[in-house]
Amino acid sequence: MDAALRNEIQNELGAIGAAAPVLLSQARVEKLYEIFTMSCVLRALRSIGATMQARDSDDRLTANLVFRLAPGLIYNPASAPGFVRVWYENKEYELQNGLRVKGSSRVLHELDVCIIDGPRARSCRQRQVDIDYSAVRFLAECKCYGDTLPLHLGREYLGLGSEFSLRVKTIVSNVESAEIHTLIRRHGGTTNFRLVPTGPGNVNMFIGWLAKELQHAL
Amino acid sequence: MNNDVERINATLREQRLGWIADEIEMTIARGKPITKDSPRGKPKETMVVPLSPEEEEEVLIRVLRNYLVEVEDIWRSAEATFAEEVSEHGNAPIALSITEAASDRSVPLFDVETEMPRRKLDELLRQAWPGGPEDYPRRVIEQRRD
Repeated sequence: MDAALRNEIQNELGAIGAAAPVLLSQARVEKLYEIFTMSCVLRALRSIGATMQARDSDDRLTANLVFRLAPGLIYNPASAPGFVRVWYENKEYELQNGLRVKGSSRVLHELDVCIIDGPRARSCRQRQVDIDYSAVRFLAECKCYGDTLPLHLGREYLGLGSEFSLRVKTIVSNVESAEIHTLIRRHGGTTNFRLVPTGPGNVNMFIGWLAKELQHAL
Repeated sequence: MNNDVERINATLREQRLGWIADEIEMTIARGKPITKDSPRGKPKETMVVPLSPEEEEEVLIRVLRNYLVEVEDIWRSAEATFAEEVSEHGNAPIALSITEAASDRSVPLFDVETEMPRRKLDELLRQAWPGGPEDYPRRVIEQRRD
């Protein structure tokens, strides 16, 4: 690389780093990506005629959706994030981010993005108990990386998938991974890679796939 | 490791972006899988080989673009979609914020608009791409791997 070009790149890294505190931690970047994925789910829901409303962690109407850097429990407003209430064909659901949900082994797992049954969610809040896998209608495991995804993320996703035996689930990422795609396809799973706003083709494909699946699952 | 990668990683660490430098180093250390020729009729065999200096630079450039150029686009797109798709409270636009685990204090995301330095960095990375600037959209933005 030309030395002058390298110096210019180094200068711009300083300018961007100073103006974007979000870049100071990987957890913040991952959270942004989860929220972006959630926004794609909103578009899929809208395309099938669902209506949506923002709610805070206490299930009250809000104009400020608050997400949290650590996973939350549905019945604990201090740790639970805000969510989106969804109505589709006279049924009610919640689109959640960073929620801890009990898998089929009864162990709690964090789901990056998921859609759960509304009445079940409300009941869990009232009874102060964890929500479980049988209330989950959709889940997305979200991975934001710089280059390619390490293979262990694919193995982890397969493990998570075996805890949540539902029709609509996927791993999404801003980058590609041929190895993980091969691994997950071999086990009948779905990947949606290079899902970014600068790749509208992939975003539209994801939204189209999800809209079709949600029509069956909701 | 490639000298340019080492120097830029040092800058990332100075800017408190060490986790990005760590990811670059780990990705390079993992090497890449290749398929080896095998006698006819036998299944293809694979092995992992180290990256060439040019491939190390490719890793560096993809990581820098995906984090320093693209993350703000991801966030702005999410904000716009939420504002458009989710019905508001009292007609106010829906705002999004992120807090620490059990706190109401918002985590700062972008202090000022970084559009200009991001576009400049994107252009510099395009110029630095080992395959040449024309190859950059296909291999970096679309992430096609040959």
